[in-house]
Amino acid sequence: MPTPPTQFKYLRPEDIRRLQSFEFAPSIFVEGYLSGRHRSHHRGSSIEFHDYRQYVPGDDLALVDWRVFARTDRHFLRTFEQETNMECHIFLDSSASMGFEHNGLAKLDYASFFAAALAYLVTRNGDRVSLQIFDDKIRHFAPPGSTRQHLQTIMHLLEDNRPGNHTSVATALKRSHPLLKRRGTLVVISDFFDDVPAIFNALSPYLHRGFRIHLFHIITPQELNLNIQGLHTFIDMETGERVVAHADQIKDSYQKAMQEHIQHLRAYAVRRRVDYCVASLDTNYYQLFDHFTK
Amino acid sequence: MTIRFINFIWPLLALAAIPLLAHLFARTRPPAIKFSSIDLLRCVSRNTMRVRKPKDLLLLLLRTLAVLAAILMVMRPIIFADNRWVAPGSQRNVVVIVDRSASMAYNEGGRTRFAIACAEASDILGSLSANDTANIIWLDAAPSAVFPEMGVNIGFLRDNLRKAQVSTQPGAASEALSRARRLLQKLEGQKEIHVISDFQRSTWQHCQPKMPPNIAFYAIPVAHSSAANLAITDLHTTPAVGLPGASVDTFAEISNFSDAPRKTSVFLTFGETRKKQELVIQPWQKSTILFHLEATTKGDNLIRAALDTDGDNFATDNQRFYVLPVREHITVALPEKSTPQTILLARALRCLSWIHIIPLPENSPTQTELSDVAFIPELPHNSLFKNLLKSGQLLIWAPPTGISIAELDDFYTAEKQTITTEKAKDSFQLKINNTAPSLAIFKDGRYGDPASALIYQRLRLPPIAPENADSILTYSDGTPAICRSKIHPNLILWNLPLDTKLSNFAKQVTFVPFIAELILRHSSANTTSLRGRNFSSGNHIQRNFPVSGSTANVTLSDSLQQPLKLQPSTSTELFTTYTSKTAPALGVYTWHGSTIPAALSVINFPANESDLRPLSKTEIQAMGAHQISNARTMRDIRDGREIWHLLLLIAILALFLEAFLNYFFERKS
Repeated sequence: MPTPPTQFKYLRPEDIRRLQSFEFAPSIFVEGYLSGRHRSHHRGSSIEFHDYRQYVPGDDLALVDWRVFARTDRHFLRTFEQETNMECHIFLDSSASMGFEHNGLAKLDYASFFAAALAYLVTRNGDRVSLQIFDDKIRHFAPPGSTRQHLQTIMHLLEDNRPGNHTSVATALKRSHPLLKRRGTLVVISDFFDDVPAIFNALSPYLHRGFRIHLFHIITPQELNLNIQGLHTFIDMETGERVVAHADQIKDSYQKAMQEHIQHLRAYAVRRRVDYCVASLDTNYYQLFDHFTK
Repeated sequence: MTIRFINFIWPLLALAAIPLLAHLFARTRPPAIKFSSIDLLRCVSRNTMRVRKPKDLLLLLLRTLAVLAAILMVMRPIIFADNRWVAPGSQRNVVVIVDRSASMAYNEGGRTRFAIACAEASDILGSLSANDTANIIWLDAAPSAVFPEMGVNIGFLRDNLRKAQVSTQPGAASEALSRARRLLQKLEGQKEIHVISDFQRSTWQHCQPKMPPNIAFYAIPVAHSSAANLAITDLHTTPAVGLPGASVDTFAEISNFSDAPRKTSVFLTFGETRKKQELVIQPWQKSTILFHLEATTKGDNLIRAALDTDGDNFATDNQRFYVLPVREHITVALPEKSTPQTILLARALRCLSWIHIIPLPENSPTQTELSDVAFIPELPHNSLFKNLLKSGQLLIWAPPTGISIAELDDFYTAEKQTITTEKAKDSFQLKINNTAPSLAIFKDGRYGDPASALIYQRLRLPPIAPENADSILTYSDGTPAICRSKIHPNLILWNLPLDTKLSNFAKQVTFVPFIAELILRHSSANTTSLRGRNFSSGNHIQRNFPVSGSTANVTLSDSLQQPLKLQPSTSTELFTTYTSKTAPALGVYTWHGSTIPAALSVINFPANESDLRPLSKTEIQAMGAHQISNARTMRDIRDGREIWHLLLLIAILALFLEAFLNYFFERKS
């Protein structure tokens, strides 16, 4: 098991300690829900090299990498992964609206913490994880991988990431579709300020190919309840547009509209058999992993 | 309506924009806050602002109203009810016409209309300044002004008002307005005529003032209700002249000027005789009741009729007098020149002991004043005819042939034929008018039937329109036989030949009673010798006495024996005329003189003053008057009314309402 570094912003030592004791049963990483973890190290032309390990008596001599022996005068075995190893594809919304904060914590940070933890758990199990950071286009793409180095790459991408432009979940999903060769699990982490039917239209090809999809709707309590007093000029973080409104006057109507938006998303998710979860910033992101065990 | 400001500081009006500016600025700089996505906010606030905006607008309106009212209050506006605002310093010339006719004595809620009018007039005069001129015109039968020209002694005028009393005379409204116009004619400055009256319909309905545009004409009505009234509006006798021992029918007309039926008792006093009758009169109707009296005493006899005054607020018209002259003879004049007609007439008249026949001279105009009745067969429209008509005596006239019917203008209009005679193939039939008073005795047939006479020749005359004459006898084809003119009620047209060759009318037993009734029932008390007894209030008492010896000591006194001043007398050959200097009040007046018999004259309440109904507001305005309710309103029109206190109230109310609504909206949100 690779030992991950401990100096990442979104993957702190305390996070790792907590995650290591986390009983993570990744039913998502199986082609069906009922099989547990599935990993094999069978050879084959289609087998992908996984890692080296020291030879111990009893191992298959055919797996000894003689070139390494020639160089090091020590016996190491090559290990391989089967193609049926699972892949987790994380789509992280990095539009400007994800920069909205709650008690100093931006939605993007919250989402990054969750994405980092998810990536760690996946790679810890020996499965592959990819990361796509998008706003109105795909800004960064880390292809699927399961190595320690790959995990580091993902962490760096998350740390360097800043909120960008407008949200377009549908566009990112559509453009990513050709990049994802193998089916797996799709985890979309966004605030979903986008056209809901367009999002689900973009998810259709994935569903058709058998992807397992999880949608995590990142939202702050203020976005949910509009806990603001008085007359304000509200500035849209993505477009810069303004609207003047008296928060007290519109609170009830706003809460109702927000709930309707969430219900709209939920209804679509149920119809398409997509998992949908509202993730408020006032709840710990660890609780989100419970969704994977359902 | 005109508004003027005492402190017009127009830049202050700019302050009224403060609430609007505060509203705009408050809304344009609220604190900014970044939000993830405003789509939902925009959608929601669009819906909410539909409700919010009217509330904001309402609050803005109230605040602006409060500020504006406060600013205007500082400017001290004055409202003038019409555009006749006069700049300070210009002169006002005010004529106040105060109605003091008889109807103004009506009691209107504790005060008479006249007292109310005097108070209003005093208020109007009180609003004048030292520069202004004024005058009062008293509106009665002969309107008179206090000053001959416009004067500045307002105090004297107000004193006049305090001492004035209502009269019992009718009002001559047009004359009063003419006088007022003449007073203001040549003056400079603002000219005003104020009429304070009950605007009684009978006085004002035909008044069309035609005020020039430079004279402001104001009407202040003081009658606030259509007052109910019961009155004796007429008292007369038939015959007009009584004969000793003969019956006299006395007619009393009672009028009900109210919306409800009235029951009353009528008391009649004649000498020692006192009679009473009760009757019920329907709303706005008249009833005439008949008393039968017997004339006994020669000379002027007083008849008094009175109503039961219970429940009548206007009692002055509840009694009436009538002076009935009782004489031994009625003098009938016949032409000096005898004709078969006049001979037959004279013969018939001599049968009546109370007829005295005198010759009718053609060439002595004044002699015509001596007779009470004149038969004038075939007299043309000459000076004698006119003198006879003017004398007021009963004229029985058979027109001559050969003249145009147009000359009979008392009976016909627009007829151009010449009068001719026509003969009957057999005879012309007569028809009587049963309602004619002179034919009443023939109804039961005791005295025969005048219509049974046979007439062989008559004048060819067209039928007379009913509005021109009252028919007594007509021929069956509508040709008039005997009819009385309505234009000159003392003129009777005679188309019955008396010559026995032409008719047998004079031979009928009905001839004498017919002539007697004709004379008795149609004789007039308005002949020269019989005038001077019954007058309506507002008129001077005038009486003729036969010329004899010394007439220097003729006096006239009232019921309290107080003498009235007389104008210098005038005389003709036969009569001397005496006239009172002023128009006396209601009552009975007695003439005294060593050479004259006891004579009475009465002044009665003017009948047209008994109907107390006023003109409507529309009718008053149709006269061209600006109707105002009272002098205070007049003062407001003239001097304007300050409304700063009203503006203060508006400002306070607006602020109170704004605070309340603000609290209410906040609480609701």
